[in-house]
Amino acid sequence: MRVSILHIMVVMAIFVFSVRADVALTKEDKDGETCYRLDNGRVSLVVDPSKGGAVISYKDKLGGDVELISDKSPRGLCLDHFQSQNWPGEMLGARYEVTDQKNDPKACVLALRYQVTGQWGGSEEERLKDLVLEKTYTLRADRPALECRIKIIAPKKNSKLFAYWQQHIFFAGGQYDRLTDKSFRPSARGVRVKAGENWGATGAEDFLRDPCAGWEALLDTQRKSGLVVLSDYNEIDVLYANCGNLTIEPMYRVTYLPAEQSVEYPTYVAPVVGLDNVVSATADYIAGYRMKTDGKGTGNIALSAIRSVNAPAALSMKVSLMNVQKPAQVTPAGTVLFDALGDQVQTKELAFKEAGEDPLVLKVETEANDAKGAQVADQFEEYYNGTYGWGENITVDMATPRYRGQRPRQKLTLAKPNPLKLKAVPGVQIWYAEGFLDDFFQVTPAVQMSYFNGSGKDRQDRVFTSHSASFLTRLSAFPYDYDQLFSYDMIILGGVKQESLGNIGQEMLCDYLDAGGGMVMLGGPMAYGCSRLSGTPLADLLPVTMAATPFDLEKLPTTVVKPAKDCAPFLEDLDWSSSPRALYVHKVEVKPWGKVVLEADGRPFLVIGEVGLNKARVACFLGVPMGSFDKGQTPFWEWDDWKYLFRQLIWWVMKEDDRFKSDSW
Amino acid sequence: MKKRCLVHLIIWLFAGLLGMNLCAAPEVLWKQDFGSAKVGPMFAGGVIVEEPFAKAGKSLQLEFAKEGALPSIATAKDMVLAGTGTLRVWVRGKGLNDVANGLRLTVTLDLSAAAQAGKQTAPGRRFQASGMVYGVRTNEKAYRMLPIYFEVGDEPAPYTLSIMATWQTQTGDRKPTVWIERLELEGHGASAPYISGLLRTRFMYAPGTPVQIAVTVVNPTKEAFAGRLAAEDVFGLDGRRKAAETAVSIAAGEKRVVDLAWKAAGPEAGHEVEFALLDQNGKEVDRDQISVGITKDGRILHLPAQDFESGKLSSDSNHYLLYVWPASHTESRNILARFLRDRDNRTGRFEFFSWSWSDLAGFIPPEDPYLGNFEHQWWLSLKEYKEQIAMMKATGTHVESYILGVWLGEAAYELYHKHPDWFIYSRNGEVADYDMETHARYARRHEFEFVQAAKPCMGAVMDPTRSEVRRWVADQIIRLGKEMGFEGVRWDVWWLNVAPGNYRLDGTEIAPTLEEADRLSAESIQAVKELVAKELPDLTWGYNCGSPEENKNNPLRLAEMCKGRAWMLDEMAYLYGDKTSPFHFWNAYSKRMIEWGDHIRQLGGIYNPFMFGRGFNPAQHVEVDWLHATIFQILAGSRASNSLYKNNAALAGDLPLLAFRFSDTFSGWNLRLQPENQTRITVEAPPTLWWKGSVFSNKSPEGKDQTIVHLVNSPVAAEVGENRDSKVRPPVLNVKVRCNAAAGRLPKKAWLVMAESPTPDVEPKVQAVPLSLTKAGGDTVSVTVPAVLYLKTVVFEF
Repeated sequence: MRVSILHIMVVMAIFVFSVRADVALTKEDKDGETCYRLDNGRVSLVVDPSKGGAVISYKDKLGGDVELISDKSPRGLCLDHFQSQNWPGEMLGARYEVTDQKNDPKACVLALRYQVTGQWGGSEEERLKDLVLEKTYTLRADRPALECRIKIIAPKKNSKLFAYWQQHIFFAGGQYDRLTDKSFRPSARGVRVKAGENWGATGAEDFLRDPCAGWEALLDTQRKSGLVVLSDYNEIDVLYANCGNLTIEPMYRVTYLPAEQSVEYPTYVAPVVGLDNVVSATADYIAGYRMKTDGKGTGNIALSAIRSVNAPAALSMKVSLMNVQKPAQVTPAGTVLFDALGDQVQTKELAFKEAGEDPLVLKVETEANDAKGAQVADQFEEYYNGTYGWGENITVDMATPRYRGQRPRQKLTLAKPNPLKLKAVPGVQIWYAEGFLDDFFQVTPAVQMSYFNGSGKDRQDRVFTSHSASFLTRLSAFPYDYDQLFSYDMIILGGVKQESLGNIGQEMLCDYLDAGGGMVMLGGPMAYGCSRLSGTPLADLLPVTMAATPFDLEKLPTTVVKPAKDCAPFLEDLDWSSSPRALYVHKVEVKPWGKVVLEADGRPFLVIGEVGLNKARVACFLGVPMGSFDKGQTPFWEWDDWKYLFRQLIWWVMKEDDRFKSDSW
Repeated sequence: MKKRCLVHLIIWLFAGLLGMNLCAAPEVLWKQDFGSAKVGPMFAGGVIVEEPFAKAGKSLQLEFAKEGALPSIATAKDMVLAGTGTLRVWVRGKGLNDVANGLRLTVTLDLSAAAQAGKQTAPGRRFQASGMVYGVRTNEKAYRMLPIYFEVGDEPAPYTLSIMATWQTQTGDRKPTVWIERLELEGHGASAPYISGLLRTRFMYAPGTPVQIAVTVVNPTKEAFAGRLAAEDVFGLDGRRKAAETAVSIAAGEKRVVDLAWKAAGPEAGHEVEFALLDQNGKEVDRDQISVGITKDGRILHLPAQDFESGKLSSDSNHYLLYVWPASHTESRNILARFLRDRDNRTGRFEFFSWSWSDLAGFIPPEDPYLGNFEHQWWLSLKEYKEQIAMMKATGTHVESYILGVWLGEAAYELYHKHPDWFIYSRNGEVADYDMETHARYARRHEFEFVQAAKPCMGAVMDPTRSEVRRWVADQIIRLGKEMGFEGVRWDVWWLNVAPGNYRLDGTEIAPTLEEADRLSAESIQAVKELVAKELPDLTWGYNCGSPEENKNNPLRLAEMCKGRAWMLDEMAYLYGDKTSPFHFWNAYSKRMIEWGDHIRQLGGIYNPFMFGRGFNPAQHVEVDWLHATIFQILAGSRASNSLYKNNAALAGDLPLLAFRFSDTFSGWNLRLQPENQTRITVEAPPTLWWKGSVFSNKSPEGKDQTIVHLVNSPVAAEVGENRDSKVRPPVLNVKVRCNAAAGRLPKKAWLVMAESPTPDVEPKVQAVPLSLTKAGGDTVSVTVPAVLYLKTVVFEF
């Protein structure tokens, strides 16, 4: 066997650095500013409190001891930013206060603090002002990974709303190479690998909106070195990579903080040596892979792993291959066992056959055991294109993924006001999420006619749905601010899907209804059954039980919509003589507490109900404004009195019952 | 053997002479010999040196230092020129790559200011042509002439000549040197009348319609000229007929435009028209030629070229004005005028790409101007499109509309609202893409501050198994033909196909199996075509679904698509240069292209594979790969949408012209690929000469049986992208090709068809040269091919 000098050097380096030195925190002067060096024998880095408390120098001795951070701004690791401020925002050059230093030979700690001004670009953002950002770096003697915890604290008297954005701007391998420096980001479509050009058919994809884990990596694939950043997947909205391979930047979800409450984001920056790709990264391992097939189902996989934040005593990976064309065909490839993980790459190989034609999905279940025998199970998957036609995970339209897996559900931790109480604010406030075809409901004239819009305090917020094959349904905005959400007199929810609200949106809407807010849900081809809200807590608050199938529309023989026997007071003064008709209605079951107000051919068309301790009023339109009618027939949404019906429903939902009470003389 | 070579050389020289103008040899109008220059630096990177190989003992030495242009190496003022000419450059070199990364010599002829200001005019003021100095045609110790062919305006006018040298990027540490001994500019002088311009009214003429070509004749002499102008139509391997003849008289010092017209006849193929200017005694004074297509469907001859010497496409890149940018009427007209003047332009097909309002959901907008869809979300003019379509059609180009099969934008939204059950749904009930914000924004489109969205508000596909959908689609296409004037359509992304996993609104799966999906897709295409044919029987069809990968499970659909000469774009082929593709090995690529091209042809389709990466990109691709890919694509019978390789300096010649001019040999409908173990043809050659997978049977337009074998001097590297230095194999000399009798009959004739140089020392030329048949014993005859540089084709006719 031929052993190269480089190979010998790497092995020697690993040996040298595996005999860990103590970690040390030392001060040093840089351009007249006091900076702090943390060095554990493997990693040596410098934090500059005067530059946003960022890491402005980073060297990994095992990775060639080269400087990863350019001396030209913008640069650095662990840069803080808020998404609502235009880049670079107030914190990039801000002076952070050093609040604590711990020079323990086992773990050095440097704590920094910054009070946000909210001032940037000539304006002041009230929702950011006076937030306190505490950043604590910890480097341990026995870990190559740098821990950086960001704690954001709301002031004593005010709630705040922000979306944190952490940026790591560096050159993997110590120098920039457009083609061979690559970012790796886990998505529901497989790990997205991007270099500085040759973006492929999917384009730049800077904003990765379908992450399926919280890690990002940027590697010099020639030198096989770089960094992995681990962040909390549950808090991540987008994994960003500027221009493909210049940065890695986890973007956190919009977060509401009640007064005095705080949120903490732990992140780890772990060095990578010996891998030219990353297929999965956790606190226990960083893994890469190589796979080759004959295109027809026979092939082999080489899985490689190094330690991450932790160094598990053992790691197993159980591997199977799913055929994309025939998802039921899952072929076990076996289990590989890694010895105690360290800095040196371990590679284990498996062969498989009869997995079917490319493309395939590599599915891996992992189990890491620490020295005390505790087990941590995890799993990941990767799309393998192989010889499948278009060069990557797309179909002929160059947009639709050939394969899209399920994103793991993000676990929810919401800071909420206590108690959950609607806010009385002047004027009328309505939030409207417009879904597919919802414009035919004539929401706009109905809302406009429902109150005198002249107080200057009224507020109508419309947000929009969009759907794409890659990122599924999304909302253009959501009032993640409890103060704002609880100020609305009512909300109108069109064809809004479960994934567009996310766990947080759903829980906040539940909170809104629990607090007594009002809601109208509109029917539409993407609503109810297709919304995938069936079985969610939000669906529990509706007066109907929606179908679990996405195909819940029933086509009627152009049926006349008419009031149910026990009709509601808000149906007053409507001219039904033109016989408004519906062609499609959602198949639902009316709950015992729901009341059918309008029906079409015996099917519920409008169902209302009051729910919760605070008697939130919820109305469900089950008719769908679509279809072609015979000449002379009036679709319900073109019925002259439709907007009046809708207006009066709005009044009912907003509990303006006095409008329907006769004066008793 | 040597004796035989000499005989062949004599034959080739004779053949070459036949092709040359014997009567009115161009005059040397300007020359520069560096032998008279003073030794020493001429400019940075260029130095006059003494050396033993130049006749006068000195030359201009250009040594590579960095890529880029050098200062002008020669200039001349007020040179009176008209029509065609040649700059001849005697060069030698060392360290050059074979057929790429050379030294580009660019001839620029600027119409003198005085001529522009005066009454003399010419179309455009600057004319350029380029030649490349490559390793394949240079020798370190001997000079060889490099011809650079140019054409200026029809009207004699004074021009300023400048010659620039530009070093191309070099591979590795290569630092080549080129020596230029002398330069000569040949053109039409003042001693005899000549033809200065040929202007077609169209690229393609339908059989039976008048071919009209305006011939500009100049009499630069001091005496009046009276004579005749004759046109001959040349076609096929040896077809030739008199087309037109007319008397011509021109006063001294005058020019005259003579319109010649005749009825298009002969086989539906690429033709060449040769014009001869004869004096009163019938003696030829000048000669010129131009190619025209004789077909009612220009698609079958659509073979644009990319000249790797100049780096330019044959069709003017300004053609984007015709379908993307706002253009004035004059701009549109000028583009087409330039198209027609360009002799290399063989545009038989033009596709208005992504012009429509909402594609299949509603092509023609309800307002004009309208907000475009898909890739061009800006204001467009329907009126201008209609004008441009008409203008383009008038050139004989087959004008098609692109169809993004997805139902897009506002029309799709409206349509969905009315007919939600016409659409296809995913397993999860999704109806493709939509964006309600874009939809809301569209309602404000007439506001001054309106900013258009990047994408249309909706994209979805419909259920083609429904008769209402088929009717809707057919009606849309009928409107394209009747209201817009399109002659054909080419579908992208969705072609009325269904697949397992497609659902109806009621949740039922449209086609649970691949077989059923194939059957329903084919039936849907057939139904729509039949509906359209009732109104527009000649409308043509095309699809970007022409690869084997896309048709693995769809044999019925593919067959239905191909029927009736459908344009079958094989988009997948653009990936074949990637290392992940099994076809990035040249042997696999050639087999794949030739076999699949034949399959498409047999199904009735016009095969149109993409080139690697959809087009040449010097930063990514290797030039010589384009030469080889072009060869295999031509052998696959392909018609191009990415331009094909033309390179006289590489001695490869004009390969797309070869495929055009001998279209029956390379893409005729009667061609049939023979199995690799066929026994009719045998070739005595080293294994690096590939021929076994490229033997075809054919029936000529005259009904004669033919056997065709293509001889390919294979790529040096096994894989695409690996031959960074663009090396080529040495020519294979004296290749003996044997042909056995077929049904007891021996071939009666044979031709050698080529674009490249007949032998390495002769300039390339597109031609078919008769070969002498030799009895090789028994039921076998043989021919000998003197040299195969890259591609030569032998046609045996029975």
